[in-house]
Amino acid sequence: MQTDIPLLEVRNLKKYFPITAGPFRRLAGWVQAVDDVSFTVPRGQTLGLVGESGSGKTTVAKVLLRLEEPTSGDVLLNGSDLFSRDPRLQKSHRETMQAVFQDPGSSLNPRMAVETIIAEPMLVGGKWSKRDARARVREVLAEVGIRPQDGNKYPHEFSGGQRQRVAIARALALRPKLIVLDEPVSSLDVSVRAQVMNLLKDLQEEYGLSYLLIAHDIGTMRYLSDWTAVMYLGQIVEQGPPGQLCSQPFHPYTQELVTAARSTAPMSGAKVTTMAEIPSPINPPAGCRFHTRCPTRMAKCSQVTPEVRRLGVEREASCHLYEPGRFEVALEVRNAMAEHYWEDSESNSKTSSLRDEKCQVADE
Amino acid sequence: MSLLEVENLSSHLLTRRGTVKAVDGVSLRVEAGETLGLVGESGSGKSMTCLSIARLLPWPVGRAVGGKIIFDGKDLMEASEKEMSRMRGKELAMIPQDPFSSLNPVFSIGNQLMEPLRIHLGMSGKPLQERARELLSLVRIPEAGRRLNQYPHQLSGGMRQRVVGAMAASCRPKLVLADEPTTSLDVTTQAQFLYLLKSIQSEFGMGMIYVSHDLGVVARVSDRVAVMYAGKIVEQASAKDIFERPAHPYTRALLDSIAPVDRDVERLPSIDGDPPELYDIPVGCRFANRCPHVMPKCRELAPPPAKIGKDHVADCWLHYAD
Repeated sequence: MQTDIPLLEVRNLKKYFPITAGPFRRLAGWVQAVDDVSFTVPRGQTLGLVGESGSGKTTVAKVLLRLEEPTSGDVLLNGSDLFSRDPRLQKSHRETMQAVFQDPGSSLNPRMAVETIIAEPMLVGGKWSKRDARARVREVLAEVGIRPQDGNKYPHEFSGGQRQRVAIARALALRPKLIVLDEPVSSLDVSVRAQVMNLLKDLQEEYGLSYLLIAHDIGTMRYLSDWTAVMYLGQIVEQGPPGQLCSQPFHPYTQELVTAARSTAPMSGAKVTTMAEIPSPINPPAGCRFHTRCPTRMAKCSQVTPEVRRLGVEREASCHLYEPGRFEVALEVRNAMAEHYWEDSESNSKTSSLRDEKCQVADE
Repeated sequence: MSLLEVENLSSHLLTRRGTVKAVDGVSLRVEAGETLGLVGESGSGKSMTCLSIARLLPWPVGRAVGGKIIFDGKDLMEASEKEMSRMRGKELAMIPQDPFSSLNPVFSIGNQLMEPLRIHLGMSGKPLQERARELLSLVRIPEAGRRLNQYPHQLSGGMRQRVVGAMAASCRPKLVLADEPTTSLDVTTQAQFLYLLKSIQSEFGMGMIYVSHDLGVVARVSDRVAVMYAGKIVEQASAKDIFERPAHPYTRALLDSIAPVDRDVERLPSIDGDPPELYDIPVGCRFANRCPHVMPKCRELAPPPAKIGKDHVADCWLHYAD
């Protein structure tokens, strides 16, 4: 087994959706859903993709599952080209990679018994006899904590948490190496989330599974992932170990996400960073895509696209604040901003004068 | 006197499998300008409590079978349907969970926003338009004039929920029942919505019941918190006490099972098992089969509320000495 190469490697992945207009479906533009995204998922580990809706994280998952064709870019699964047209290779990729979706209410066919649902991927592949498949169904049901004799029940007879367990059992059936988890716990009650997350952790440890986790909840991300990439408008703006991202976010967007998630202390008030919404990916803002919402925005942010910068051993972020040689200043600006802009979204005038002052110092 | 006082409220659902005791002897109060957080998992009866208060239980299966709902000096259980519809939207407003289904897709935002103003306040013409525009800017929706003519599908989820919030606040109600208003929103839009909700609340001095399964959200907005489990309130206290000194094992377990943002945990403790079926409620404490501290007594007799501190009660035998 080649263990030196990562299980999944994504290089410069792009997915643009065409927009058509008029009676002849004239091409009117492109939705840049995923724009130049690169990451790797090491064996036995979890890569987390965070971002709000519209950031393109689900599109990444869809492209990897080959539900959408990529516009450009390479993806290597186990060292072989994921987009290969060789049917045998495609089949083996499907066995290597399985998925669990957000809402088990709609990802499980309500007219099929749970055991049929779980057996389907095995029987479709043609490698399993009915008997082996049936045995395997009982095995995976037990593994996810559902009594095997409940296999002949239908999805509606289970609770939300149990249904998600069924979806996980289906993903496990073919003994995959990678499971794409698209918001696996966000439709579940808080009290059930911990159960399902622990199950995912146990399974990973037992079978050395790799996960690509897509989530918008920072707590979930911190608990489950080994490495986190933050996406905004189709691009990865920052990545690193989740603990570090939460305790010291570098990119202002990461900061916004973490602060929005953190204030669970009683009566901390409802804090906001900005009232702005995520801009449309049809005509993404020029320069840094985050500049329209960014509290630390400088003049060049709307003109020049920031490069990816290495910040410390395991961290990288794409932000103009962190130009070479002014890391300390950048941190100071960021911290000052963080203190201010949670108090009141109206205190913008206060923060902008502070920004000008600090950044002037930084530019000198 | 409190703005809302609910005493021993019980609401049942008549289903084929039997009578579901969705709300079983719930007592709570909300003072003017105060927010009560109502927490519990799905099926614990928190939405049914809200619907009972607004007298909007699903007809004909839902029945309020007992208790008192004193709102602003009137008993809503005794009120006629006519009185209720005069009150709903004016003194008592609701923010439902899903902004995708709570706005009518075939009417413009403006039309829907102006409806309560027209019906309850008798406004029309220029002042009505003006007021609608004001409301939209109150929830920070830019270009209010243009937005009024748009339809729900032209707005993002966060904006739609803000429109629903503006509608609820439009007649300056005394009490708002917010039923999981941010569950379908992103973290950042959620923070925005909560911020607006709180600022409107303090401006208008509204009382609020905020229903959610997410203790983190409840922590941010509530003054007091009531934790519901299987149709009953098991603990009630100030938000601070609930988070710092939870007294009921269920509350403690709920708090422990949240994945924290600010520290690493090796393994999250989870609440195993399922809540009891509400048409077949066991004798004794309803949490007994999942409780880590269960005693023989718990399975025999339901615990009465124990006073833990000032304004802090929990239904648990652990707090009775002997």
